[in-house]
Amino acid sequence: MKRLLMHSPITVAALWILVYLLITLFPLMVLLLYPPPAQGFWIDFSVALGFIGLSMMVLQFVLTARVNRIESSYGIDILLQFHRYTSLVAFVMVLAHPIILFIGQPETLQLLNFPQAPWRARLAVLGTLAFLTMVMTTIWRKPLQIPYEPWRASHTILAVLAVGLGFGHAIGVGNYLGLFWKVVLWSGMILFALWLILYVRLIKPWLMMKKPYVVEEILPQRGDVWILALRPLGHEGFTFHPGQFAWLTLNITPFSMREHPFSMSSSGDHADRIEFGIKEIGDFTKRIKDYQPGTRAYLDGPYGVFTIDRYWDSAGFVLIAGGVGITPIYSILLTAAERQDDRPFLLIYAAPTWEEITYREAIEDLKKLLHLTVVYVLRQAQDDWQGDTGYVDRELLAKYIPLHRGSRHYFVCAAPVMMDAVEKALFELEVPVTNVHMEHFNLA
Amino acid sequence: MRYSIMLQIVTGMTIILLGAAGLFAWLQNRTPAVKPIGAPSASIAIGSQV
Repeated sequence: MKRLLMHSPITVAALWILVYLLITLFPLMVLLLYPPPAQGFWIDFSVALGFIGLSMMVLQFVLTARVNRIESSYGIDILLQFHRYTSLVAFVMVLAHPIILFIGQPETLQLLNFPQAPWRARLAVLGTLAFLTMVMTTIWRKPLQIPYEPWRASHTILAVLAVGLGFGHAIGVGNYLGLFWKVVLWSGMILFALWLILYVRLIKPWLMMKKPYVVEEILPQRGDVWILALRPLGHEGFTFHPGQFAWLTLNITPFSMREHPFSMSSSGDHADRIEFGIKEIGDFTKRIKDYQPGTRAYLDGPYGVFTIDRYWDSAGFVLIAGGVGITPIYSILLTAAERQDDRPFLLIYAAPTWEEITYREAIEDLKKLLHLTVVYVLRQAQDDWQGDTGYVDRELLAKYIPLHRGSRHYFVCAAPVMMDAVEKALFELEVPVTNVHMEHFNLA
Repeated sequence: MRYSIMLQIVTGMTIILLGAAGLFAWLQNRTPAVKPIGAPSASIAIGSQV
């Protein structure tokens, strides 16, 4: 019973939510011990919102620090989406804090007069502006044409500023942080957040430096994809659950933080050679083919929960890939073949044309080793094409997926539009939502 | 779908947090409780400004 509960995604989610709420609210409730005089319901309500907002801001550092324990429950894309939603909630609370104050005590509007305002108010204004800038540059990064790497660096700086200034403001006001031990408690939280930043920015890159890799070869594949093969240099490398990904730093120091997430495409059981299938899409990926064997590389990983290893009891698997989304799925199939997995696999693979089916020959070879059915879905097919054409929609899925929907686990990796359409179609076909697993390309 | 479920969860959590803020304010503003023996007085607080 205990094992069943601990493996139920709903139980795990409920536990993490409870932990999140307790960590958010505990420092607030501690402030009620030996409190200062009451200031009226609405003023104290606004103060509570300010502290809750600050707590949530501190917790954002935990969500984005790639903590394996948390990440292994959900996957980084889910955590980042949670980070986006909760950041917005924290921002609204931080904004509501002064607004309620201004309505309840209009004289406090004078605090917005920056040159004459006391320091505690200036810190609040600056902290809110840092938070506002961070939210705006994140939501509208693409319309504002901010490149990923400068955005990421500024995001960290603004986050530290927003939390630091917010905390400075709380100490400056001093109502609830008037007692020394309360300041110590909140300082501990802030220091923990700073430690996480140091860990991600300095300690983790330093650990990566100690385990370098070299490019062994770079091979062309169908569909403008390049296979980047890495070999560990002076260490054993790592095995991984097929379907997982790693952050790749190529030809520069990991301290530069210019890393990119890619799914491994090789067998998860071979630590001595790790391959990535990389499609020419952006600036970095278009340069992949230009790197030479011997180029130094660094990996941070493996990460992700997009793997069949978590579902040992499943009767089989339905794998749905679009374009280069085949990469983690190919790793799943290859590893399954090596492990002599005898369960049925159904691969539904959408590609623009027959010639652009990445790993086509290798997948055909895997049919001899696995109980594997492959359905190719071509966008543009020649006249003599006998298979399916068009999109992976509800009708197509209904034709191929098993009647007993819940007997399989479904893994989807494709471009965002296809992912959304497939997810919706699977839901309409009554596939249990807990049996559907998705891997997003774009984590930024 | 997953993001939709998550949005609902975050909405639920937000309501709980708002409720907690309300509880905090209510506890602060209810009828004054008897001060525990040995509790520090407000006068030693660093400040009490808005």
